[in-house]
Amino acid sequence: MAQQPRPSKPAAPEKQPTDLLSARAGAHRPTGFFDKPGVRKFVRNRTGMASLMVISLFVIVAVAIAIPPHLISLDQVQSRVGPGTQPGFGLASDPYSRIEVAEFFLGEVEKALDSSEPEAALAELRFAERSVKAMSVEDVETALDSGYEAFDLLDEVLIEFEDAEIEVEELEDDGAEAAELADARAAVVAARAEFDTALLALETEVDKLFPRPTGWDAFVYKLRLFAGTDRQGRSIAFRAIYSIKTATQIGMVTALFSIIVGAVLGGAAGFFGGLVDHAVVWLYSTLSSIPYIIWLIVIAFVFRESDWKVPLLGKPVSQTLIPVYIAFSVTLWVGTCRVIRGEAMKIKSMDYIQSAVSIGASPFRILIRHVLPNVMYLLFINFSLAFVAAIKGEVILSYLGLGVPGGQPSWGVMIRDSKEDVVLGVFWELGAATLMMFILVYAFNILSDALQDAFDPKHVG
Amino acid sequence: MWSYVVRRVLYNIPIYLVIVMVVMAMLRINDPVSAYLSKNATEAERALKEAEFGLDQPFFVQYFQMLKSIVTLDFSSKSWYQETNTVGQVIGPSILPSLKITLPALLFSTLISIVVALIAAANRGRVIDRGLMFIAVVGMSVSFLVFIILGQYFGAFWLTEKTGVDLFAVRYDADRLTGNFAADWVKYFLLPVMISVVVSMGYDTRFYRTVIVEQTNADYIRTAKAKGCSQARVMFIHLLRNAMIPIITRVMITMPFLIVGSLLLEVYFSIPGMGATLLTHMQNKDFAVTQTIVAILAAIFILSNILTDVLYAIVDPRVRLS
Repeated sequence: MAQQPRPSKPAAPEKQPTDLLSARAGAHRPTGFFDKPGVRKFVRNRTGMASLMVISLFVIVAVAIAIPPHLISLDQVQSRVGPGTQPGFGLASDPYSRIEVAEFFLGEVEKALDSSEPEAALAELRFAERSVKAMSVEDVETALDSGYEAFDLLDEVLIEFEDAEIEVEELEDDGAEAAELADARAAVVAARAEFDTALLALETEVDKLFPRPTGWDAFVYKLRLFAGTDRQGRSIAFRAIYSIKTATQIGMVTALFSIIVGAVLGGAAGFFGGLVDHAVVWLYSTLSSIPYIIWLIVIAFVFRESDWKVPLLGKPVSQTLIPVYIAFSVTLWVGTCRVIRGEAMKIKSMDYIQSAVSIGASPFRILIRHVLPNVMYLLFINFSLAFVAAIKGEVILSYLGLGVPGGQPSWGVMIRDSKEDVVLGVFWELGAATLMMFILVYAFNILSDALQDAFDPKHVG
Repeated sequence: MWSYVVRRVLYNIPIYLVIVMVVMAMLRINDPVSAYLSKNATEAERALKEAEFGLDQPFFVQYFQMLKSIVTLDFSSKSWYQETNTVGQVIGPSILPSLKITLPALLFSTLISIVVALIAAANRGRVIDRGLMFIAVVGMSVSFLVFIILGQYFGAFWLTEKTGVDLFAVRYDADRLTGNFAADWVKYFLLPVMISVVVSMGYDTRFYRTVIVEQTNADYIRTAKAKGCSQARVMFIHLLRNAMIPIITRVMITMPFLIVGSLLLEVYFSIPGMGATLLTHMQNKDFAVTQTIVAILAAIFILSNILTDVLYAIVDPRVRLS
């Protein structure tokens, strides 16, 4: 909404008013959406606008992943791109992890050759942008052999290099003479150079089997390995980005549902009072008397064994996000409902509503024209609160095994999977998922603050 | 006053009755017996299990039996998962560990948050205030689970490995309890409580600060300042008392969050509390225990609602009359 530029209206002041009424209207009534004081204040709030842009970006990415020419497909995030638990952010250039990568590729080729149908297995061997070069099985065997030769050579050189290093350390500890120490150090440098050449040779051999992608593919491949790989060798970066879609999906569905239901029920309760009010208050006190986690456990208990297939999706209900939607929707609308009910009660007694009633406006018109615009900012704020609650709730549910069902990555699933890695001091997956989630949730938190600042005159900052 | 208490209790009874009914109905949507027994169980086995738990009786008969067992606190039906125990024997021992997390967490997070909020509000607009509020928003934007994972890693693992200070245990272990209540609590419960406090502080601090800043603009504060009260006296005596209503509301609102949080912490630190028990038994299709724990949690929840209303009335006499 507000990220579009303000419409410019240079002609307005010069235009001669045709009659008194329109002149008055031009002078006093805000003419457009962007002239309302709240909106102007909001547009001027830089952090608020920045957070809105970040959120828009996330939503655009989510849509790009969800609609047919998928930016990232589910297959892509589920397939292996290399050995498991590789570090990211440039740390993959560490020699030991380079050796590990080379060893992994050679091993995979060997496995394929050992299988009953080597040709088919080789054709299927594919790690994202890298696949085995099209050549005969014999050629692959020779290439593999020379690969292993290079590997053995590297092993010898590595031992030499490590021995040289140990020697330097020992000499340092013994307090040896300077000349002797310098010699030993020179030996280390020489061994290191030899090691680097051997490593390069090994990588060249591997590249002969698995040609490095070029051009655009090379960029995508780098991007895949940017944040390292998880235990199963899947790209952490792509999984974290794909999770934007999962999060947006859950957030949008539950937040929209909860503000619509909350606004309708809360508005009705506050506006009509009496029996309607009693019924709504009773309904939400009942529902909110059970924490959503308990609702979810109950709902999971119900749907777990259910064979009922969801129409349109053709999947059993336990394999969809529907239990998650239900669990969040049941509880999240209560907050919106409470706020809107209070606001509607207040607005009901305002002069402008009395005036509208006295000139004979229908209740529907009053609700749409007079009440709704005045509670709109509350709906936006509650939308972002519900969105955040849903995203954060998803993490908790996924950890408990009740959240996003098999296969589809989400930040919750990633954080859950990273639990065992953290004990080993590996933080890539946890870090990537947390960072992405942090950016989105932080943006929503800032946005709701900015909305409150701009539209709520009584709010104190 | 007493008439108000009675009114609140009477108001909440029908709500509770409906909750129990809804929960019982939901748990019966998918036949619990066929979920529990394997697919090739005979009709006779199914009928036996149903009869054992009274599931063959009409719904309302089951409903009233459930209500009776809650009112008389008689949970003597058999657990489906741990077949030698009754439901009461499964649930009973799990209450204390849960309370050992939730109560200290509630107490500490409220107290610390109020103090931090007072500091921020007293320095409103200055660097301290902005810094504290920035940290609060950052804290709010990180998942609870991340706090738990990192808290456990650094508090229980890293601290012991790197510095040799063996202060916290990685997970609860009933066999290693020393019998000293305080020492055991520090070793097994303090870390979860600390994590819980850190997580809720982000939200609480911001909320309390807003409440306090709103009160700072009130006339009575100006009067108190004018008559020469010290800053501390104004803050703690005059202001805090008037801010009590929103604070109590807040504590009340935190309750469901605490249950969620303690459930996660219990599962993560293998603490045998109510949340962890509920989850284990639910995963093992233990219908009897699932149903009873949900009913008990709802009851605790409603009781805390009533308690909040009564506290309101004590703090603000106007509430009683409305």
